[in-house]
Amino acid sequence: MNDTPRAKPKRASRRAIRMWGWAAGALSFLSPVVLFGLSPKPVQASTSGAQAGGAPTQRAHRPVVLVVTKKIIYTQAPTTSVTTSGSGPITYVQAAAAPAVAATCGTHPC
Amino acid sequence: MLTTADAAEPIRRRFDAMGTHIQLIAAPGSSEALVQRVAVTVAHIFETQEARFSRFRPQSELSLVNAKAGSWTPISRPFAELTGLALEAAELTDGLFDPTVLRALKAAGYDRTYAEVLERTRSETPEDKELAQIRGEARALLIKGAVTCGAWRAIELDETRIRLPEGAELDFGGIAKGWTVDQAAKAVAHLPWAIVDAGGDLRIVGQTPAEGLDIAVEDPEARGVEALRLRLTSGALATTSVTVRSWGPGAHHVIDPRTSLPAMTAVMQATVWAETCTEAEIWSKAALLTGRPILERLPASLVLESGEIVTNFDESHRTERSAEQVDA
Repeated sequence: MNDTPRAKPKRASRRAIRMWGWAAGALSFLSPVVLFGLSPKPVQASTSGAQAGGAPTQRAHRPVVLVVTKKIIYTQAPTTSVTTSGSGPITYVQAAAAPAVAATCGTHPC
Repeated sequence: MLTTADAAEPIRRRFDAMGTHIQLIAAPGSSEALVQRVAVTVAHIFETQEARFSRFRPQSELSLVNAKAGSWTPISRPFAELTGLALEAAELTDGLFDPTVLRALKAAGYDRTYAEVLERTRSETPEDKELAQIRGEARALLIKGAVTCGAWRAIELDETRIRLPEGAELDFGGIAKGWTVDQAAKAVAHLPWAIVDAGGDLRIVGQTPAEGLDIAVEDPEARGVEALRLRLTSGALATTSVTVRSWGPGAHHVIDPRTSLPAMTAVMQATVWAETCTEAEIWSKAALLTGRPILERLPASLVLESGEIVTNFDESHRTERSAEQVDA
């Protein structure tokens, strides 16, 4: 057996520890700034996609068109009516090519 | 002023009365001279009845009767006739048709002609609108506390005179227009067929083509767009809508006599068929306030806020398809 004592690892000097401390502190302080600086930037609102060098990121403006579609629900005509003896000589049509002779709309010029 | 349309189409004569456009539509091929004579007669009928029943004319018979509420007032035969019909209609509709809603209508903002109401609304600044809203809410609270409708029950009427209860005011509104259409319809009997159309309240007279005449029902949410096409051979149509004669959110001309406020209903528009335009007018108002249950009582179509049209008018295409299938 060798009883020679193991050499103790050399301790870092106070000065070295202080320097590493300063270096770590500076790195942690600066890293967010560096990361933000390197990260990709959003396209300026006033800049078109083509000028920004990439594909257009803004959708072309499309007007919203309101399409009025009404579902017709048919219910049984009354057998006796307060205004007529039957259901009346009236029907509705789903589609018509010719313009109507007149229009009804509710107390305004139509 | 009367105007003429294309000769290939039905012959049309137009003039303005009762705050709307009046049209006489005559069968193609009718004598132009006859149509012109009839149109002059129809215009005269409308002018006469407007002078009698307008609430915007201080010298009208209606204004004079309203001014003398509480005492007996002599009235003309037409005035007695229309008042009698209005009171009968109020009974039949359990008060949903009410000829005494005028005070509530004025309180809701319809206190001058519709053109003037719109002009006032347009000229208001934002500050005025805010003030108007506050005034409106205060007015609504006041009205809720003292319902002004229903005074028709206390009206006394005989053939030559009338007595309104104190504080009550008559307004025939649409029924006067419908009744005048019926009066004018008597004058067009010499034409093969004709339509007397008063701003969409119309009556067909004479022998129409067998397939009937097409009448468009306008979409209450899109002026000039058809929501429904009707085909009829006789009778009358009237439509009541909360989207026309409207001067702000919730402010329109259809007063619900149960609340004395502009109607709040899921029905935006009601179109009713009846044998006379007077009846169609009365029941279109009742239909708007009643909603779907009215379809168990009379021929009608309702445009709902949900975007649906509920109708009990039969579909023409069913008959036509059936005929095609039989032919095949």
